[in-house]
Amino acid sequence: MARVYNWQINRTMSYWYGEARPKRQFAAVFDINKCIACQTCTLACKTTWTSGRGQEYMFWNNVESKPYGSYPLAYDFKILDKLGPQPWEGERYEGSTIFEAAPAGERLLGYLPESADYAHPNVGEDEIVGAVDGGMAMELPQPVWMFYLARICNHCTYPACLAACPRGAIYKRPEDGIVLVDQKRCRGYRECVRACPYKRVFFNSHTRVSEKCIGCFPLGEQDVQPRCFTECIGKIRLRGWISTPSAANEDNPIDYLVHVQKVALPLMPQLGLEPNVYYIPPIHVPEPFLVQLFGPGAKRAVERYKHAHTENKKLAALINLFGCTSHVIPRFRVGDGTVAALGDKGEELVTVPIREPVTVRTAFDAKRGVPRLNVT
Amino acid sequence: MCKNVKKFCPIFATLIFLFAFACAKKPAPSVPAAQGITANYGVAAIGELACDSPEWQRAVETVVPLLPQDLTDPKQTVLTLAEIRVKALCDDTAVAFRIEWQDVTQDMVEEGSRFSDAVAVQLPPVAGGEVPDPTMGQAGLPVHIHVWKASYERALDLGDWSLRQDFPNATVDHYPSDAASGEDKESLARQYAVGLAAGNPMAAKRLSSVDDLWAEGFGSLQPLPVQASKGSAQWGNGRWAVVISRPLALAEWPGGEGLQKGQNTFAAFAVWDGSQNQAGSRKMRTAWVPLRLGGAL
Ligand code: SF4
Ligand code: SF4
Repeated sequence: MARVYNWQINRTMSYWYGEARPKRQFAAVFDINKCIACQTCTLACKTTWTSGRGQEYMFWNNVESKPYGSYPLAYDFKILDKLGPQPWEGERYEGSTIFEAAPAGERLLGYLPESADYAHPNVGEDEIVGAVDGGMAMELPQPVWMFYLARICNHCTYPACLAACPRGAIYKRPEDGIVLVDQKRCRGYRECVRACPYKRVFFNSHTRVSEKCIGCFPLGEQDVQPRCFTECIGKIRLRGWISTPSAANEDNPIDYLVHVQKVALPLMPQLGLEPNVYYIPPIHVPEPFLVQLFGPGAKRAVERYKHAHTENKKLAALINLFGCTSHVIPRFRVGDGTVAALGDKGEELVTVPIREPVTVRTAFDAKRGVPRLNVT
Repeated sequence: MCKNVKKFCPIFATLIFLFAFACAKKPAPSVPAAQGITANYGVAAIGELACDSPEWQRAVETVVPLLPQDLTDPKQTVLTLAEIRVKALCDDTAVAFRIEWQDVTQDMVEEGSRFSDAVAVQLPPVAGGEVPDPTMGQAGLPVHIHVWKASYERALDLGDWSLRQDFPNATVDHYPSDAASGEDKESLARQYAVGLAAGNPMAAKRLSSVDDLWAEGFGSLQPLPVQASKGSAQWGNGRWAVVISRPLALAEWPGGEGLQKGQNTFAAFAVWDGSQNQAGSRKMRTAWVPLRLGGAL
């Protein structure tokens, strides 16, 4: 195994191959606080890429209701359980990554989900357990909270799927860091399915080979964001490029959210893959759960995000830029009451107000003499 | 008394039957791997041999011990099977191997967490000269590998894949390609079946239960330009019997002029147990076993 630097855990770690960062790295920020679990993203992906035979239970994009929702079932609990309790020392991870915890004879610590685990895309949200009597209420011994976690492939800097394939049939594109299964070379061994702790590679039993999220690279090549981003009703997603922390650029929206403000965090960074989808954590969830899911920076991220409108205009402005253009956003600029998405050469892609004007309409339309419904 | 006779008779009959069965099934004499495999000739239509063809009774059986694949990660460190029993026959143009092994589960489905049973035979492209590495050859010294899979056999039997083959109670709302008209139907179906559209033979319609492949070391397996081998298989009493027959030589196959009757070469084997989630490098393998192509029956 080679030694590579993983900035998300603040240390060097073991990986199957040497460090080879792409020219540019695909990256995204998802603002969890805005997700309404409409699953439009899931369907946008499904209709675009996975509506064929062998893809029936395949969701390259899924949205799960945390803490229990998970697809495939309990993927997060299973890998955390396998890894066992592991320590962070401040922002530095002192525990073992899945590469460092590889059992003898294995390339990493993984497991294969059961077939039935894919049959529950969102336990706790879309599954009916039974009818309840009118007026019934439920009391739980623990604080009541939940949130929606939208997931795609993280196009990791150190992909477990890529490390695991004994045929080298998975590759990371040097031009954009997107991780792909070579559909011509794959022989369906499913090492990648075992390996990816996020379970973002799927076996297609019709074609007998594995498939995964392709980051909508044909759109990306035209500087357009993926389908699940442009269709997002909640405008929770922003697609751009991420730099390493030392090369972070304040004008790059992803760098600004991840490196400068540190409000957007990777999912389970302790696993060691350096995933490139970053989450603004939900503001109402107990800290221990957030730390387990997003690492030790969770509390700071929540605090900064919560007070953005009063304490950090630039951050507040940028949060409002999500979902305002279908163009990939490499740069942004905050003006007087507005925020603009800019292209690579500084050209303006879209400009939106930091605060949308609010119009209050009275419940009764006096002119027509009718009460207003919310559609009038 | 009568009662006793009634009781006694079936037991007695069973004993006689078992005795007769034991005599009839007395295993043909087998030789250890060190003595090699002899593919005698004298049988017609080698390519058509099934695993229960009577011709096999005329072939000597070689017992080949298995080794764990403990050389490259991910490894198969636990041996889940001790040995395979191999017979071979040849004619002027083809050689057939009959491989038998114990496997109490018949795993023919390739889906999610289910893996297929499989067996492979590996041969150097030519006889004589430097012998390639037994573990899938090496750079400059390739090997030919012929993989039979139970799932391929099943696909041949069942035809076009459907979800219900793997999950009999599953329902599917809609495939856009089914709703399309005429030519669009196929092109849309193909568009979603990316492995197929990319020309991966794994995804293609099965025409044989055997893949013809070649390799120059671990991880380098790729299809031979022409697929010509055939398979035949039977599972019963917790045992697989599989026949893999291949041409001795094919002009399109790289690596030299091929094999010829009368030559001495080597063969190696690999077995995968689907119920143990074995696939790819998670397999049991053998060392090279001397193979004699020829000698009249
Ligand atoms: S999320 Fe999984 S599938 Fe995607 S690049 Fe990382 S390891 Fe591979
Ligand atoms: S489309 Fe957006 S808001 Fe709707 S579920 Fe997906 S991520 Fe959440």
